[in-house]
Formats: sequence, C-alpha cells, structure tokens
Amino acid sequence: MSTNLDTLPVQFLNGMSYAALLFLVAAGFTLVFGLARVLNFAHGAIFMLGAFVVWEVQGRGWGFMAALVSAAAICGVVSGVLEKTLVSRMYGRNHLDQVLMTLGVALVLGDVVLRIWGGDPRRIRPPTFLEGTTEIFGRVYPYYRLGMIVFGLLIAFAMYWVFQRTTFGVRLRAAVSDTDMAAVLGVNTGQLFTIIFAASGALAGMGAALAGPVLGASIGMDQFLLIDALIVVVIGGAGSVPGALVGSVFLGLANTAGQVFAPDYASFLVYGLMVIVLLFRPSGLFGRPVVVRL
Amino acid sequence: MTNENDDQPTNENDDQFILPGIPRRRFMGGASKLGLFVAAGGISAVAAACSSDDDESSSTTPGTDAPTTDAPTTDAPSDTTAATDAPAVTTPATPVSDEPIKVAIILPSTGPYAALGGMQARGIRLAMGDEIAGREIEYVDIEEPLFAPQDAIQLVQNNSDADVFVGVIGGNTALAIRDTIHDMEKPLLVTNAVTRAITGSRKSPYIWRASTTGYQAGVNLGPWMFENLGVSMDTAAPDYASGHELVDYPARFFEESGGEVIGQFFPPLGNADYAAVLTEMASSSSVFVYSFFAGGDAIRYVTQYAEFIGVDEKQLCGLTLVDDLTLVEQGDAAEGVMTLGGWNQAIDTPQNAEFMSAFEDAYGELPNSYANSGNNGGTILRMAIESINGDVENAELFSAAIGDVEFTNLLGTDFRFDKETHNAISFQTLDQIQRLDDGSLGFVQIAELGEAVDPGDDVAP
Repeated sequence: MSTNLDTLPVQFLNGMSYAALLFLVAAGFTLVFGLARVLNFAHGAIFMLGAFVVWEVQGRGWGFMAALVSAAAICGVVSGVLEKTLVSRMYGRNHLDQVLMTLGVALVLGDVVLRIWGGDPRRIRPPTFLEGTTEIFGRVYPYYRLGMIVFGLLIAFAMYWVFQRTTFGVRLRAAVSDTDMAAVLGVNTGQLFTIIFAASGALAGMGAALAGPVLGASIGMDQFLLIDALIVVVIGGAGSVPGALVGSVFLGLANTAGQVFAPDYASFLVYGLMVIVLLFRPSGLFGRPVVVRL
Repeated sequence: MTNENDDQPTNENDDQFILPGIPRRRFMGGASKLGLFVAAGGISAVAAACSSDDDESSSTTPGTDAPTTDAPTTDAPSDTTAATDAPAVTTPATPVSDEPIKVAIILPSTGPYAALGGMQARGIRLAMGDEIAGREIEYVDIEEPLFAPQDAIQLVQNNSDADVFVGVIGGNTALAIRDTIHDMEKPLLVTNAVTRAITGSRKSPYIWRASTTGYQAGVNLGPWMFENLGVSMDTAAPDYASGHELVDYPARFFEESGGEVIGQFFPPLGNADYAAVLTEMASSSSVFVYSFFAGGDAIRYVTQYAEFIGVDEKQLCGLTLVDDLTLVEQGDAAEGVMTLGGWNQAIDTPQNAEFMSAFEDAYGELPNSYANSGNNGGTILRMAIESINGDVENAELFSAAIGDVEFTNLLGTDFRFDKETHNAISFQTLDQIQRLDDGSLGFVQIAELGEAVDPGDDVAP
C-alpha cells in the first residue's frame, strides 16, 4: 500500500527469505515429480508431520539440530514406506489415479497428526545461535531470516551436486530419462524410486525444521504449502532443482511485492505469474518439454 | 464470558469459509443458488420431520430402553452420565415426553478447526449434561463442512428430527443453512460465527447468536484506541470476509472519533510470513497498530511483530491476538500486546473455578476460550429448556425461551440477547499481556469498554 522506497532493500530480503522457505517446501516435491513422475500430494502432509516432530523434540529440550535430524529421519521413513507400500503399485497408472491416492494419504496423514498432537498450533524456535535481531539497511532484521536464505542455498547446492556429480546421480538421471533401458543396464530402478521418495520425505522434514521458526506447526498448513509448492514447480519446471530455486525466488519476490505495492491483488499476483509462465513456457522455465511415450 | 472471546475465535473460523482460491463472490452466488434448493428442500425436510415424529411416537419404548447407546455422545462427561439412571429423582415435574431431546451439534472435528470444534462441543455437552427437565438429551454430531458450506444444508436436512441445532463456526455455514433452518422452524443457536448478516439482514425468528460481530468488536474499541493509543494507526488482518469485517468496523469507529488510518494491510489467507507487511508498518508514520489474527496466524504474527517492530516501538492492539493456547507458544513476544478481552483460564470468578474443575474432571484437560463459547451455548439451551419444562416440540415457545435467557457468564458479566436482532449483547473489556508478580505472563484487564450492541443494519450479502 505505501510505496515507501527506503524499505525496498529490506523488502527484497524479505522476499528472498520467503523464497528460501518456499524452496525448502518445494524441493522434495519437485524431486519426486521430476524423477518418479508422481504428483505426490502427500508431500505437504509429510512436511506438516515434520513440523510437529520438530516441535515435539524441541519441547523436550533436545535442541534444534536434534529436532531437525529426527524430523528428517521420521519423514524419510514415512515417505519411503509410502512409496514401497502404495505408490509403487501406481507407476503404470495415470496421473489422476496417483493424485487421488496421494491425496487420500494426505488426508489420512493429516488426521493422524491431529490425533497425535491435537489441533493446537505450535511455534518452533530458531537455534539459539540465530536468535535475536541485527541492524541491516538501517532497520531491525531477525538473524534467522538471513540464516534461512543461506540454508536454502546450501540445500539447493547439495541437491545439485548429488545429481550432477555423483554416480548415484547418474543412475538417477538414467532411470528418469528411460526407466526400462536403465533397468536393462542393471540399475535397480524400483529401489531407486524408493530412495527418491525417502529422500524427498527427509527433505520435507529438514525443510519443516529450517522453515519452522517462520512457519510454525499447525493443522492445515499442508494445504497452503502444497499449493505454493505446486506453483513453484510449475514455474520452475518439474524435476529441475535450479528450476525450483528460481521458481521459489519468483514466487517469494512476487508475494512480497504484491503485499507491499498491490495488497488488493496480492492473492492473485502469484497465480497470474504462474499463468504467464505457462503461456510462454508450458513446461516451466527450466523444465524439458514433456515427451509422451506410448 | 462475554461472548467476545468466543466471537473472536469465531472470526478466524469464519475466515475459513472463504477459501484462498475461492473469491467471495462465488460463494455468494453459490449461496443464492442454494437458496432455491433450500426452499425446495425445506418442504421435504418438514415432511420428513413430521413423519419421523410419527415414527417416534410409535416406537417410544425402544428409545427409552437404550439410553446409553446414543453413539455420538462419545464425549459426554462421565460425571453427568450417571444422572441418566435416575431421571425420576431429579425431575421436579412430570416430563412432557418420554422421548429424548435431540440436540444436533454442528462443529468440525477434522481439519484446521478440529481443536476449536472439539473444545466447543465439549463445552456444550458439559453445560447440558445428559438430562434436562426430566428428558434425556441425545446428541447428534454434524460435521461442519467448512470448506463446502453448501453440504451443510443436506446435513441439516438429514437431521430434521433434531429439536435444536447448536454450534456453527463459519459464517458461510451459518448463511448456507439459514433458509433451511428457517423453513424447518427449528431453533439454531450460533456459538461462534461472527458474520453480521445472520442477526441482521438475514435474521430469522429461529436463529440466535451467542457470539458477537465485527460491528460489536469496533464500536467501543475504535474510540478507546483513539483516546488511549494515538491519533493514527496501521491495520493488518487476513484477506477474507471476516478479516475485513473485523478491521473495517474498528477502523470506521476509530476514524469517526477523529483518528487517521494510515495503511490497511490484508495479507492473503494462509500467508505464512508477515515480514513484508511488518516492514511497511515499521516504517509507517502510524502511532500504533491494530490487527486481527487468530490461532496459528496469531502465533506467527505476534512473534514476527516482536522481531520486526516490537510493542516498545508501536503498541499492538487487536482481536484474538493472544489466548491461553497461543500465549504458551508466543511467550515473551506477547508481552505488552493488547487484545479485546475474553475468557481466559485466570478469570477469577467462583463460576469459572467450578467450570474449570468440572471440565478437567470430565475431559482430563483444561478448557480454553472455545470451550467457554460452547459452555455458554450449552448453558443457554439448558436454561431455555428448563424454563419451558422440556416442551421443545413447541419450537416457537422454545425459540422465544432461548431469547429470554439471562445469566451471569463465567467472566462475571451479565449475558442477554437483543430481542430485536437475536444477537448477543456483549460487555467488553480490554486485556493486556503483562508480567505477573510470579514472573509468568498473564492477562491483565486494563479497561472496561462497556456494552456493545449490533443494530443489525448490515446490507444483505
């Protein structure tokens, strides 16, 4: 509403820290969508599970790092089991079947979380060394926001490195571009997909911890996060880590700019952005055109 | 308990009914289309009600044989269950009927508002117990479809044999079932929804509201803020119908007192990060900030407010920013925040002490402000049913009896309805979160704002 130009540098930081948050949510989602070609609608619910695990562990006084590791481990296992027991039966089926199944899992998981932790919203505290605020561009700014930008970049870099620079990454990319051929050449593709799901879940758990000091933990958060993650993936391109990063930055900055300059249209702006990208780059900024195979 | 507490949580619920992706207009359109169905459905509902009445009279005995099998009553407090065994002992006069009184509770038990709905349902059940005026109380739970209000119509029609409906978190639900309830001629007591229309342009002789409206939130608070906090303010609330309603009225009365509203921010519903809005408000020329956020939003907003602005810099005053639940999570960030008064666990009245211990005995945990809303609703229904000696089949008598209920709520203030609009008249206070003598943070009442009445002059949605 106010167009206060001297807040612009801080608003840019706000946009970037929100982008980091979005990337933490979307990273695992785009991984599964890009590699296993499954729209995993349970991803948001797994993220929410991670947030409550973080709150639980932190509440026991075990500290932020313990909470992060626990959430990553639990979410990784849940996601891996989900793939092994349910999703693996759906690979031959169409996307609609997969969406319905994972959506069902999301609803069940949501109510399981509700049953375990109750419906009360919770706050997640930042690690002690990132508590407090600093002065930046002449304004008070929380340390943790800056930390989140760093975490987001670190995770993006780590993912990129695994894909591009490790043997595991080579196998993954081979399995994605031609599953059957990779299997013939000795890649255990079934196991690979289980690992991808588990890794995606672990990323969600980690993301829940890192985004926790801003997002907190509450029932229903999964629904909003899933929509944001979808937009990030659509803008960035399915399965592309750099795409998810760029998509997050787009969405983060658009969200912040919308609230500052056009509050009445803030809700609409991100969807408008998505539509424009879809019009000109149907497979996203970094996505490859989808090849339909018979 | 002034209904204010309830109201405020209510608001957030209301919010829910307008989903982020669904513009308000569409809901309205849907509602009016639904009106047609309701008109048609209402007739069949009445017919069904009649026929089910006949069924009941012919099957009186099976009903009385199995008082404990009312499956939905899972949450019934254990201490009151005992009362069912001896209705004759506690009943002063002969009951007007052996049939149980069927109370349909419309609240969510799943999704983001599950905790809120569950607490309210418990409050209702605790206040009503298992037997009133010699008649057994049978509860039916209707899952409030907050994200699909149109479904509420069918759910209400399916329970046309209920004697009274109570609950309703979303204003959208309330508006959706309004015509159905009106045509069925069964009383509905709204315990949470804040939308003005239901006791204004869309009021019904059968609908009462124990919660309050945005108008009531602002009528006293607006002038008080001008006199005590400063001449200019920024506002922030989630971008949905109730968010606007709960900002627009306080802002309107603030301006009418002579104040100036500088910036009005409505971050999208479900927005997780308030950094952008808070940065703007921090650099604004406003003297203080007025906001409405509830539940998880309130936790994030208040903690982020402390990081980006801080109450030392600008006072923060608003609705439902802090309650017993959120305070635990907000901690120090909530210190100094002012919030329109409502029920909290520290309310020091004899009736509240009794309520708290009864609630804990029954459910094994302490109540919260939503339980208080439910308790209010349950108390109103119990007193109304007692006053007509259980003759709930006479719906007009029953509805009028609800409107006649007056009692001292848990906050120690008097509760009564506005007979004209059927809306609750609330007595308002303002609380501030302060460091108490024992070092903990708690609610301290800093002002009495007085009674608030909604004239019900809203424009039809």
